[in-house]
Amino acid sequence: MNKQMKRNLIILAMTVSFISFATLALAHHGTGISYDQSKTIPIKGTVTEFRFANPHPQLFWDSKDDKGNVQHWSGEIASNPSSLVRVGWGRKRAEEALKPGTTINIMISPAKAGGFVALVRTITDENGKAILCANPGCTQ
Amino acid sequence: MRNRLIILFLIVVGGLAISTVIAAQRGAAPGGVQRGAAPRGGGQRQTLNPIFEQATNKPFQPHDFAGVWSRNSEGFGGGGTCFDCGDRGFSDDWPSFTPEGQKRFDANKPSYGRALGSADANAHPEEHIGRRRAVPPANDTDPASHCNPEGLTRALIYPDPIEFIELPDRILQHFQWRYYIRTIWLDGRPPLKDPDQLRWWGYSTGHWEGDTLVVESDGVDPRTWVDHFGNPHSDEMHVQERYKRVNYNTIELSMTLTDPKTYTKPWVSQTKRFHLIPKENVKTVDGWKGLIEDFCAPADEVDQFNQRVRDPAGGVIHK
Repeated sequence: MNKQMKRNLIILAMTVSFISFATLALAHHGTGISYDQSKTIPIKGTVTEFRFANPHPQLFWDSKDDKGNVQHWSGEIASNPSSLVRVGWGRKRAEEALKPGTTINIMISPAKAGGFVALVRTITDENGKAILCANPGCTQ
Repeated sequence: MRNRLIILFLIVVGGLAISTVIAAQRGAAPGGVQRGAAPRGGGQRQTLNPIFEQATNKPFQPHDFAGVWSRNSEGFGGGGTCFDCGDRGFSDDWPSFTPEGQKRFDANKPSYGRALGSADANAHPEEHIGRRRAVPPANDTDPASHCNPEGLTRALIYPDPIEFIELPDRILQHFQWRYYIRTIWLDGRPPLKDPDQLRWWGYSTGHWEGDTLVVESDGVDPRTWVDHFGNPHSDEMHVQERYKRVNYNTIELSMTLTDPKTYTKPWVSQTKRFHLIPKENVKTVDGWKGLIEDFCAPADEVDQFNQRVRDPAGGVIHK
C-alpha cells in the first residue's frame, strides 16, 4: 500500500467515525441545543481526566493557544457507557486509551455559550487511531 | 486504485450523511409529522439490527412475554429507535390542553426537540410547539435531569431494553435505562383509582382480554412527565396500556391517557413496537449477559456531568 492509499484510508476512517459521532450526538438529550454542531474544530490536547459514567462520558484536557497559554477544556462525549460497551469500548480499555498525560487530537463542536466547553466529536491518538468510536467499523 | 478509493469514500460519506439526517429527523429531533402514518423510528436501518431475534414465524404463546425486549435501533445503548418501533414521543398528535394543563405545559422546559426559536424550529410550523421548544439542558426543568424517576409512560417510551419477568401473580418490567423495576399485578385485585399516596410508578393491575394484556394504572405522581417533550399530567391521570405479542419477535403497545384536569379528551399514543433480543446479546465486554446497570446516580450525573460539563455548556457556571 503506497502513501497516497494510506492517506486516503485514514481520511475515510476519520470521516466515517466523525459522522458516526455526529449521528449519536443528534440522538441524545439537548446535545443539539447546547453545542454549535455546524462547527467542527480540530484541537490538540493532553488528557487531564476521563470519566466513564452516565449519562455521557466526560473528557477533560489541556490545550495551548497560539501564544502558549494553557486552556482547560471540558468535553461531553455523545455516546453513553452502554453504547460504548456494545461496540467493545469497556471502562478499562477507554480509561487506558485516555489516561492522564495522553496526547490526543480531537474534533470538537464548541458550546454556544462560549468558554472552553465542547461536544467531543472524534478522538484519535498520535498515530491517527480512533478512540471511543461507537461505529463497529472502528472498534479495533 | 486511487479513483476507486475516492468513489468508495464518496459512497460511504454519502450514505452515512443521509442516514444521519434520517436519524435526526426521526429520533432526537423529531419532526416530519405525518399524522396517521405508520409508526416511525429513529434508527438508521430499515431492517432489524442483527442483535435482535430475526425470526417472526417461530411458534410462540401469545401470553408469554418473558424475555428482553427493546425499541432501540442498535438493541441497547441510548440513541434512536428502531425503524418500525415508533419515535420517542407519546404521540405527534396532541389533544387540546385544559387551562390548567396549558399552564403546566408552558412551565415545563424540555431539552429535547428542535431548539426554541431556531431557524430549524421555525421551518416546521406544521409540528406542535411541544416538539420545537427545546432549551439547553442547563436551563431545562426536566425532573429526570436530576435523577428523579422518569415516570410510567416516559420510561416505556425510552428506547432501551425492558425485561419482562413473569411471576404467577404479577409481571415485572425491568428497565435497563435507570435500572427501574415496575410491578403489574395480575392477582385479580381491582385498580386503585384514588390511592392514599401517589407513587412515581402509580398502581398498576393487568388482565387478559383474549391475547391482549390490558394494564390499568392510576395514582402516578404528577411531577413526572408524559414524555421527554415536557407534556404534563395531573394526579387524576389514568393510563391504559394494551400489549399484544403479534409474532415471535414483536410486541405492540398502545396507550390511552385520560386526564380531564390536563387534556380535553383522551390521548391515544402512537403504536410502540418492541422486538425480542436474546439475553445473550445484551452483555458487557466481559461477556456478562443480561441487562446492563444503567443507573442514574446523582454522584455521577448531578455532581459531575451536570456541574462540570452540561451546565457550563449552557452558560451556567457553578462556583
